[in-house]
Amino acid sequence: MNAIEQLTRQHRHCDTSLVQAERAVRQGDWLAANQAFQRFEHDMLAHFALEEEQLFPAFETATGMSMGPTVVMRNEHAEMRETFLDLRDALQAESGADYLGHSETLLILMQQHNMKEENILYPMCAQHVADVDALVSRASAA
Amino acid sequence: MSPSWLSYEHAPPIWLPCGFFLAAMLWLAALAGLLAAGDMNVAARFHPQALAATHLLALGVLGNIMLGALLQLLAVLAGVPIARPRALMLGIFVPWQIGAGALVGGFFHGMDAVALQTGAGLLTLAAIVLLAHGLNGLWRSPARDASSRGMARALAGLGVAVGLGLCMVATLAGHVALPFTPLLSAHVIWAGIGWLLLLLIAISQTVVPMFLITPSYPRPIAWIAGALLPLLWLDSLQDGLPPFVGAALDGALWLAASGYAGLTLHLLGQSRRADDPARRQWGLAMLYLIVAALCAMASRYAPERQSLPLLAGLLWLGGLGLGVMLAMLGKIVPFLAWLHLKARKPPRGMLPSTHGFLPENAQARLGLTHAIWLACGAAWCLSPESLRLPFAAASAALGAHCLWLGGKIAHRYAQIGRQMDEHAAGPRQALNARRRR
Repeated sequence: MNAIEQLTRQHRHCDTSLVQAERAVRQGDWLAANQAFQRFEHDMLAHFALEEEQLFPAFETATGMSMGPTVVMRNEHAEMRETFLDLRDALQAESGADYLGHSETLLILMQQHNMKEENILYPMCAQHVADVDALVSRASAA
Repeated sequence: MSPSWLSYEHAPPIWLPCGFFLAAMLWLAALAGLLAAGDMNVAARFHPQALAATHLLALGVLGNIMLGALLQLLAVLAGVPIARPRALMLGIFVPWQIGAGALVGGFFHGMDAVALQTGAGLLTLAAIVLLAHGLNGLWRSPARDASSRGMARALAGLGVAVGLGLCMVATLAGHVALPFTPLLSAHVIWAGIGWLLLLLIAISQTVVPMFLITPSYPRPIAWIAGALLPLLWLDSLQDGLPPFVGAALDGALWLAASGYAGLTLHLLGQSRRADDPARRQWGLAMLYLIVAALCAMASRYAPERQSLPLLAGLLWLGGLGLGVMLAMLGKIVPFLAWLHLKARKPPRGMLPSTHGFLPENAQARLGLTHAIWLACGAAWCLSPESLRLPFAAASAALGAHCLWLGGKIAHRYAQIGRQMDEHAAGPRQALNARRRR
């Protein structure tokens, strides 16, 4: 599996956990919702770490673009992290309406972000970063 | 291309897509007036008032939503930046509205040649500006995904449809002497399939899997998307071909379109967001596509049934097109409002979620209003003499419902914006501001 496929797969994996949590909230199963959200948050933070600590620096070094698209992606990661907090608050308060609203917001935010990465940034990384497949494999396994 | 083109700052400002969306809702309300003022008593697709209603729906309602959404999607999906949004507003929005108005008015007033030529000219101008922006941006974009390629195909389809429309108006006005019937047939399929359907296929390949959490479209979607343009070219030339070849080409076109609907329905059946109202709206829209294709095929073999092509057109534009677009607007507009306010860095807890702008049940109710509107429209196609006013009333209700929801979103947006201003100004100034109000 090449780097783009691995990273895209991580996106889809996170989508699955987010949707599982959403479905559990709709069913009023707060325990399952908490478990699914924890999985989601853990996987998302690991994915962000892979990108921010490994992939983006490699891209910036290879292209010299340190103030380019990776800055935008980092900012969007920060926005998503803020929404994680809203979701966690809604889970703690067991507020279904709040949770579903923030989950929908995060889903759209996340998918717009994923589109940019999958359509534009990852292909550019594949083009410019030497041995990017091995880099992503190593970082994913860590 | 700017190195920071992925930033939301390079996406269109909120007023650009929302301006198109608002215009679409006003055109929808205008459909009510057009139907109420008309006196069409027979089911005939080429009756001037039927042509006026068709173009009002296609250009005023769907066209505006598609243009607004396309500008947004070009930026988000393919990284095509909007460097000069005001120039695009002036070059696309303004001529599009005046052109659509002139064309609709020209049809309604019995094919008024001056109005039709003015309309066609302005719409061509708007299309040229859009094509220059979109195709140039896609050419420079590093994105090579299915949606970006599909948007390029759809823009090409728009260019051909508009060009054919211009040729028809020039022929009607006596400036050129082109064979009218083949031009008309080609214009209909290029506008309905080359522009509308190709754009829907392009967008759905991203939107359906990502927002309704389904598997990706299987390989045949690429065959369908790739086959449609050559099929459209061949079908446009069918007057020079034996009738059985023409029938086969028509069949292939409608089969390809229905294939897309079948694949989408199959994916929607696997959606892991089964409770999202948008899933039901997408599913219904695909069913309308299949019924529209059946009506279009049936009309070929039963030309005396004048209601069939009218029904096919209504289901295609009003069922498939408007159904999908209302589902998408229910996601896009609240998110744009949220995103724009989020960029102002509000304190935590001040900005509600997208459901705070448009609750899920409001979107579901809009889907119901749309279904009722379509049922009234279908009844009108079958019996225009007696069911014109109910269809006009349903159009007024749908337009008013959309405008009311849009107004609620705008009100909420302004309310939160004021709260953010007050928070930024500090507690004392906030108190003074409240006293002044």
